[in-house]
Amino acid sequence: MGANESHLVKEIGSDQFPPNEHFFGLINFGNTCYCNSVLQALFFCRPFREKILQYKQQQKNQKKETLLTCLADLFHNIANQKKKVGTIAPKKFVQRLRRENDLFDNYLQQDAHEFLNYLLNTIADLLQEKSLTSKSAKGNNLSNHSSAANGSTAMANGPLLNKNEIVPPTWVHELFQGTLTNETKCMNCETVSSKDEDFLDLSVDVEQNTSISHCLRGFSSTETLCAEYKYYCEVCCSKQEAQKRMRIKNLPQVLALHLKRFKYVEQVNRYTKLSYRVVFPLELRLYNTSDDAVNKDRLYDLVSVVVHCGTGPNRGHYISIVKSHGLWLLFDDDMIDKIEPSTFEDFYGLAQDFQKGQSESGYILFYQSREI
Amino acid sequence: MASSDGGKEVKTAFVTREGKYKLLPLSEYSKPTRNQINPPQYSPVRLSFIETNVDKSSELIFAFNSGRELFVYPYRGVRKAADLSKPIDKRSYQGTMPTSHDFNKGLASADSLPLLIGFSGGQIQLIDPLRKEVFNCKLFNKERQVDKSRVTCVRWLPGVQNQFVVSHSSGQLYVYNTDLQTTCTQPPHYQSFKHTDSVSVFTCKTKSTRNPLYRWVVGAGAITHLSFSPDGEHLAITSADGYLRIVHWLRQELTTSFRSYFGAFLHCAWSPDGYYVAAGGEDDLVTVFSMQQRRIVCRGRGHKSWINCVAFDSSLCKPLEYRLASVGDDTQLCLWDINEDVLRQPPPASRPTSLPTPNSGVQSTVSLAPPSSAKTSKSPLTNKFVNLTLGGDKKDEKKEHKRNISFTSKSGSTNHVKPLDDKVLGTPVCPRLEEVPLLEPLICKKISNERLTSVHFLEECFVTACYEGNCYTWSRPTSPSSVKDVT
Repeated sequence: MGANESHLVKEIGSDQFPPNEHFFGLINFGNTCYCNSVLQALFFCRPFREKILQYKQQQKNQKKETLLTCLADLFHNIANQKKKVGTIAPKKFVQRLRRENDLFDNYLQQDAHEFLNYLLNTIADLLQEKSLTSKSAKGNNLSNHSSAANGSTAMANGPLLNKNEIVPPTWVHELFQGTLTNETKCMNCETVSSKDEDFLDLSVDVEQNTSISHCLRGFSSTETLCAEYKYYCEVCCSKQEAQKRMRIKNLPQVLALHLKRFKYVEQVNRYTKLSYRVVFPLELRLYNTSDDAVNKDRLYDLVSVVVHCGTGPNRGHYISIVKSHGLWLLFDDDMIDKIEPSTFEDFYGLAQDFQKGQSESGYILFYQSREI
Repeated sequence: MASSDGGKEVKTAFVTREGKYKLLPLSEYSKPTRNQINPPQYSPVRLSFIETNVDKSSELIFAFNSGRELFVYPYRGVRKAADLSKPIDKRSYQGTMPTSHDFNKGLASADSLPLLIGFSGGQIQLIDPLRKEVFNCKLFNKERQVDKSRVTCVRWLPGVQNQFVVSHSSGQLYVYNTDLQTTCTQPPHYQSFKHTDSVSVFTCKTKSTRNPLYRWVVGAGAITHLSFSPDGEHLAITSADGYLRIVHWLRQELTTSFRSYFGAFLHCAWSPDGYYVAAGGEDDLVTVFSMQQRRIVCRGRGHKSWINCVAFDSSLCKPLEYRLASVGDDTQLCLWDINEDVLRQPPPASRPTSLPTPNSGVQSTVSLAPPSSAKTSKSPLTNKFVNLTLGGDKKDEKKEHKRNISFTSKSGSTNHVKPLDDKVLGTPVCPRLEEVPLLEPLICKKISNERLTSVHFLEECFVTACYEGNCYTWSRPTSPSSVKDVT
């Protein structure tokens, strides 16, 4: 990979090369690009990387191998390379992943979003386990969302942990967790009841020729509950027609957006890909925030994107585009290229429904709040 | 999702209060052969119209770019069908493609029609579709020594027949003189000429006057569009850094600026009276800024994706009543009525003092210093605003310094794009969403299967263009009483 290295350093310019930064491609262990692309996206999500490296520092003597220690070792390994550019084999991490979850214990292509979800939840669980054992004596009331109820809607990919006791939030929650508020207004007595729900990332429906802002607003559009879906109003003590909408009440520091591009089609008995063109800006604010949201004007910057190339969830390829010190880089397993934001056009999707061919489309977007 | 299902159908007519607008299928212009889909990296289709006077009758001619080609056709209006077999000019290019064009209004005549074309490779060509034999076609920045990045907009200077301005995605704009030599084999050396806020002007460091006459460095991102005010005094510049900057052209100073809610501004247009500037971009919003009050007066929400073009319909604009149109990536056309109720709304109540209103019209305000420093009010909020602007100054100076160094080595680089601070939110430069009226469109129609790139109003109709290079004509309502005087 020497040629690749010098090529990239040359392209960036050795004087312009970010100090203390390492660009390391990840070797593919047989359809592990779903994993590689997400790992790169997370590595270049600076607050996440810093937390992982901190964990590595604190856990020097830990003997028990977990997915988190494997990830920490991998990040540490990349961050402490002598070379600026190269490739690395995430062998230990992939082995651990395959051992821990049957879903990933094969050589098939997997859904990158499922992997991200699994990874974040596993890390959160491991951190929580640890803090519960070490801090169990102290009454921990740090929970910032005491009313959190982990509902199971398709929209919010909440923590898998669903315990009745208050679990201390981990840095995974501090970074990725936001809160949705589910407001239901009874059409009879006009009482509004709301229920909060935490999420680590948001899954949004995609439509042809729209923006990510529009797709996000889509799930906050008002829905009327009527006929067999009437809502039981506790004030009226009966089933009533109601209006329901879901808005974001607490905006996360890192907003992970999953575009629901894989749709199950019954006729063909499999998932097909919606290659719709969905544009995503480098800068984002949210429109669908609740009135009582405290940080509703938060300005986000795009930091990384997991891109799916191909036709379906279990075929095709994943790559990622990441931002580092103002540079944009494309990671395709062990290959790295510098790219210009003007070429992101290629990753929005296809503007025409009848257009066929290789669709390289944004699948998971990571936006980081500018305040942190 | 009822609304989105309803939106799938492509409309060929729609009704507003002034009557019915209809698509005229026979007045559709496109490249003569339509066989392939433009790859996504193709540049948006733009329209340039020019009126030429032949004897006593006037003729409309228009140019549009499509992929690697550029077409010039007589525009036959609403009564005659388009004749695609007889273009006035048709050019295809290799290795570079046209991105923007502009007819020279001052020099246009029955037998001469100077047309400037900007290219994705950074070059600028001057052609005359009517004098192909005699006219020497000129090519500026041929060696790409001035700027390697894509040309985003070319405009003739108002009132000056031999000078034009060209913006690039590098965030710089240049002024050229068509009478000076076009070749430039060495990267030019510049010296600082003028520096205000986020706009710096440089001249070429040579003994004799040469091209480019000036280099402007504007903001911290690609310049996306240029638009001169109707009186020619101001230039509105939209940028990928999220700002729309209005500069006084002759003074070479930043007059004022405002910010998108988020993301790049992609296009802008002046109201016919020059009192307002409308802009659209990556926040899916239409934003209207008042030059007199120096504040964002309203935003409009109706698009489902980025807005590629905004245009005022001058025949439906009068004082305190404006008609604006916008088209975008969502394949929709939105029309907006901006009326007195919106324009007269006081600045948001959260601000203790109102902004200083200028004594009269645009003309007088430009003689003042840049607006931010002109504010002398002692109110804490206003002071804060001033301080922030000053903070911005320093940052820009630093950035400027860096960019000067990098310029000679990497003129096409866009690496200097840095996030601007977000402190402007809640100020007149970028009010919060709830601080200014949020308009609903008068109509919002899906009028194409393809993404729309342009909308242009004419006397009897308006023309829209889409990404794949088709230009559609829409007739205005026919009832004569409903059409207001153009004056």
